[in-house]
This record gives sequence, C-alpha cells and structure tokens, in this order.
Amino acid sequence: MFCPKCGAENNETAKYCASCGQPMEVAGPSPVPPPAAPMGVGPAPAPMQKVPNYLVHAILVAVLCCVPCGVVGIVFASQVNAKLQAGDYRGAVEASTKAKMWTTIGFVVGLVLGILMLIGVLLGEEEMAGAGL
Amino acid sequence: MACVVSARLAAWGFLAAGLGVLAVLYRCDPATTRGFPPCLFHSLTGLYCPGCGSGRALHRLLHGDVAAAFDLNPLMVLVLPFVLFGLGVYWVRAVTGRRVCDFAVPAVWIRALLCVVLVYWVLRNVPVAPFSYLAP
Repeated sequence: MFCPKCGAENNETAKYCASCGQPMEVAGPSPVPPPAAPMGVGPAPAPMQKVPNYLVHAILVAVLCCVPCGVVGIVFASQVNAKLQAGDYRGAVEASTKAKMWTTIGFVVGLVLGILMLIGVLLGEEEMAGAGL
Repeated sequence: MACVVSARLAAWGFLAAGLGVLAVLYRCDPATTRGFPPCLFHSLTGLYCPGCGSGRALHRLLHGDVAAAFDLNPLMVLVLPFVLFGLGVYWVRAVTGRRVCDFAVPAVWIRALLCVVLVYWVLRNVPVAPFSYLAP
C-alpha cells in the first residue's frame, strides 16, 4: 500500500511508512463486514425513517385537488408506516412509491382542471355557478 | 423530481408559490371572486367533498375570523396546523438536509385520519342538524 502522506510504496502489512514514518491506516480487508441492520427483524431505527409516506401531500391533494387520488394516497401512506412498524422495509418502499404516484396524479389532475377552469372563466365561456373553493 | 432540480431549489419554489397563493387568497374571497377552480366533485354531483369550503375558509382565516372558517370547513381548520407543521418539516429537511422531527406516525393514526375524512365526507352531505354544520 502507499503512504497517505508521502506516497511511498510500503508493505501491505506495514504499520509505519518506511520513508517518512507516517502511521499507516490499518486498512486491510475486513474479515467480516459490519452487520447491517437486518431487514425484517424488529424496529430498525436508521432505515426506518428514510421511507417517505407522502401523508401530508396526500392530505393536501385530497382536500384541494382531487379527492379520490388523495384518499388513495392516504391509504398507501398508512401502509408505508404499517410496514415499517412491522419491519417490512421493502413493502414500505413499494407502498411509498404508490403513495407518491397517486398524490402526483391527483396533484396534476387538480392542477390541469384548475387551469382549464381558470381559462374558461377568463375567456367568459362558462359562468361557473355553484360553489367556489 | 429531485434529480433534475435540487431539493433546496424546489423547496424555495414551493414556498414562493404557496405564499403567492396565500396572497391571492388574502385579497380575493373565493365566495365572490370568479376564477377560483371549483370543486369537480361538487360540480358533477352537487354533493360536498371533504375539501369544499376550504378556500373560503382559508380566506376567513387569513383575516383572523376562525369562527367563520370553522363554520365553512371544520375538518380543514382542525387539520391545518398539522399540515402546516408537516410542510414546515419537509421544507426544513429539503433546505438544510437535516432530518428534523424524525418520528414515525403510527399507521393506525393514519388509518384513523382516513376514516375521519371518509365519515366527514358522508356526514357533511346529510342535510340534518347537527351534521349540516359540517357543510360549508
């Protein structure tokens, strides 16, 4: 291996650089990789929180944009947390993907409809009687 | 989404857009102003969706009239602080990169919220007191 300080080549097992005396990192191949958080066993704190459930997005979509898509999004959001609690990381990721998809669909539908309605109103083509938002 | 635009930029963009919407809602009352997107569900069925009245309610809230807002859409008024908190957490995470307020909401709470939304959706369309208070 090469000395990190002076770049001189050393033995693989050298503790100090033969050239400049810099202590060599005892890198070496790790015999056993550090045990990663086992999937599906008990509550693993680190990866657990990293799966977004899109709950807030789904609520907003349900209330403001497109109720069916938002409701479906909330259903998948609950699945994300349920699976995380059960230790099913992969299932949680799947549910998270679906939650994201449905909230995005709802958001786009609401946005497109809103823009269309706005254009319609501004062009004066239809009197939108009835409840505003 | 975050592959093309950085999460930080998107966070600032959404904040700007959100403040813009709030500014419009402050100035214009959806009850009297044309141009606000109406509820598609209501237009098609004549019934109220869980969100009906929330635009008008926000307008009232922005002018400090919580009672009027509650009268229009009580669920939205109750849920709004949590939604704002959640959005704030997302925003801080996107801008600072730190996972603040990292707690897992139990799935059963989310399912309970879903049940509340669905029941509210049905009940606010019952034209009988006390359920009629749920309608805008």
